Amino acid sequence: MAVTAHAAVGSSGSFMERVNSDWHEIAMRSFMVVVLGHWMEHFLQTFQIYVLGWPVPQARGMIGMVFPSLVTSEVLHYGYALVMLLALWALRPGFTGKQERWWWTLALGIQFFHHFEHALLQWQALSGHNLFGRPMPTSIAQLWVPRVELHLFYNTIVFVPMIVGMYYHLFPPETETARPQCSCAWHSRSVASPV
Amino acid sequence: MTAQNAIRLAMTAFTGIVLALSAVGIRWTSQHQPPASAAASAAVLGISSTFAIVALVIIWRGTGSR
Repeated sequence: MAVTAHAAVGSSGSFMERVNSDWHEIAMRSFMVVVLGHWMEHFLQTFQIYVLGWPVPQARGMIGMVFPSLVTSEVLHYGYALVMLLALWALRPGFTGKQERWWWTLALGIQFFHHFEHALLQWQALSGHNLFGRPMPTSIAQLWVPRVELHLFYNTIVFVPMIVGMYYHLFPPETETARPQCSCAWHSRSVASPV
Repeated sequence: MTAQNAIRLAMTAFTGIVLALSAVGIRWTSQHQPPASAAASAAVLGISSTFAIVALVIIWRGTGSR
């Protein structure tokens, strides 16, 4: 006999209902693969600059070493920021607990501004009109902070609330009363095992 | 080792990389960027480190799940 500790909607709901119930676990795992892959690129780029001492224009991470144009492509950066924003928004209803929802929503809010910054860069790249009289597309925070450090910063302050939210999603506190709709929580796996 | 501690350790390893890169970054930017840019870089890298430490405290402070 198998007992589940979550209230899945089954196979009859809409796409958004299913992605936040019986598909939430696989959707979250897929999203994390994309996010961690992106992180590896940033980690490698900063390692190349700070530790290996490579000149900033030559520090292109891993994929950028093979496809240099990707690093300078505003479309790629904007596309990733948009994917992040949409995924954070689409997967949010699956975070039913109070604390996990709060942290995930914080990540969504910060990513919204991060996406706005990339949208500004994308608009400048498309229009050929750079803001602030700069010779290249420039975001608001880039007026003060160099791009490499700024993107390390943005990615960190979005990802940290995400991992705290995910932690609470995987291991809901004992005080949490909301019933999860998905199979992500660790206790649901042990409960769901045949007994 | 429990699954909870395994997840905690994985998250700790990740935030450890962020902390290490931020520390090296603050040192590097102070030597290779103009003073105003270096100060801005140090500020954002410092905030990043603070976020990472807060995350570590939160995930390790918990007393277990239901």
